[in-house]
Amino acid sequence: MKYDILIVDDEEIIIKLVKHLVIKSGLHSNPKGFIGGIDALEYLNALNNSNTTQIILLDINMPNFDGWDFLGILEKSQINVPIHVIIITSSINKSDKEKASLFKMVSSYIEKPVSMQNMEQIKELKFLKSLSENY
Amino acid sequence: MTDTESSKKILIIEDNIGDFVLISEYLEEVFEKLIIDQAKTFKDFLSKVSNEYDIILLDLSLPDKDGENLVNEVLKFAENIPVIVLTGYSDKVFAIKSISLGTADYLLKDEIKPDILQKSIIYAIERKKVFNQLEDSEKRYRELFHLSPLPMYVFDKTSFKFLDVNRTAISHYGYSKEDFLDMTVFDIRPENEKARALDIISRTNEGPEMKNPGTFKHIKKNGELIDVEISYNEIEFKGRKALLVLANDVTLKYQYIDAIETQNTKLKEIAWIQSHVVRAPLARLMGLVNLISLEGEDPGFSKEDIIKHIANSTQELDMIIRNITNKTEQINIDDIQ
Repeated sequence: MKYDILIVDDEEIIIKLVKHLVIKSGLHSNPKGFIGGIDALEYLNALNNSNTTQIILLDINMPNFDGWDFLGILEKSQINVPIHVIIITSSINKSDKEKASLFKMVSSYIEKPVSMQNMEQIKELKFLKSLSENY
Repeated sequence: MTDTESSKKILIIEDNIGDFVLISEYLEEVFEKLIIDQAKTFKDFLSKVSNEYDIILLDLSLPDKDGENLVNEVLKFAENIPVIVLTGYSDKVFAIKSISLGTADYLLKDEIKPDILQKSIIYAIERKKVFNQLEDSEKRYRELFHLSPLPMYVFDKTSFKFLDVNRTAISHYGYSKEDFLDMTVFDIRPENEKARALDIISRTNEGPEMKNPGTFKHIKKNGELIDVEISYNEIEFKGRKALLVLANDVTLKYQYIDAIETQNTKLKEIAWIQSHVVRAPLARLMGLVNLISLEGEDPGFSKEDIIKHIANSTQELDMIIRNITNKTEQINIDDIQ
């Protein structure tokens, strides 16, 4: 596949659930899970200069280092990898959605609970479609 | 209207019978309807002054009183009735001075003619009328100040001393009128506000429009700090440049606004909790329900795992709802007295 999927959440059960949905929907056969944003940043840093697009399914409300912190650091970092972020959050606050739209990397915003339907929506995203066509 | 036809009631204070008769004759010549009374002494005058005269003609030397003393006493008891002084040449200088004491006019007995007397009397009555109207309107404005339900005061623009305070200010601040008149406007302010008040007072340009420089802190006699909304005007008070100030106590209003703002903050917190904290375990529960419905597939979860997560999520939800209830109970706007 021409892209990888990273799942960032503070709860293992959610990671497992999302992984299962990603695989079942055929979006990706081997998504990677990270508990918390720091681990994910380290992983991305190690990937530097790779051409493979990284699609990050990012939880916002995490203790200590939340999704906004993660996005802030990612924007400022030197990591030279194509990245698309899809926010997955339990928040239904309009202000969170507006805040998310301020980050260029954020391509989509999904409210929990994550369902199969969400996976189909991700498949329909423009950037993903163009990735699949080029493939 | 004062004219020669309306009835005039005149008191002549004159001990000399010849002068009295002469003046009476002149008067009868120029006024059609006329009631003339005579007072021969000051004592006599006192017994008659309660009658409502239109004018008093006063001779400057009476057997029991004369000169400045006489003029002052007569003016005091005459109140709103105009007084014209009658005198001989020898007293001319004092007669002129009597005008400054408050008499309406002076006439030299040797020069009196009917038409001069008529003109002087009509003029004196008319002028007094206008003067009385002015005094009435001044009195009404004074009452507006003193009976205002809001605290008001006047202070000197250069010495900052209180020049006058109204009754509401006295009862609201707890200082007596004498206390106030001994103080400056800075004595009712906390240290940290004095510079700001001075700045506004000295920056004030003259002009009739009302100014509203905002809210200030004042201190009552009992030490209580209050918030007051100030509006003021430039006025001239007894010849001095002064400011007329209205100080509306808004302490309670501010307390209410504070309480409402605190309540708003709490409500926002609750809304945030609803969105983030409550929804987290709920979303997890919904996810877990989805998992269970994926029957026959093996997502890699054991039944025990799922049950354990469901139990954790429900307990978390319970805790959160208790916290929200707790926060809601902290909001109590009725506590403000």
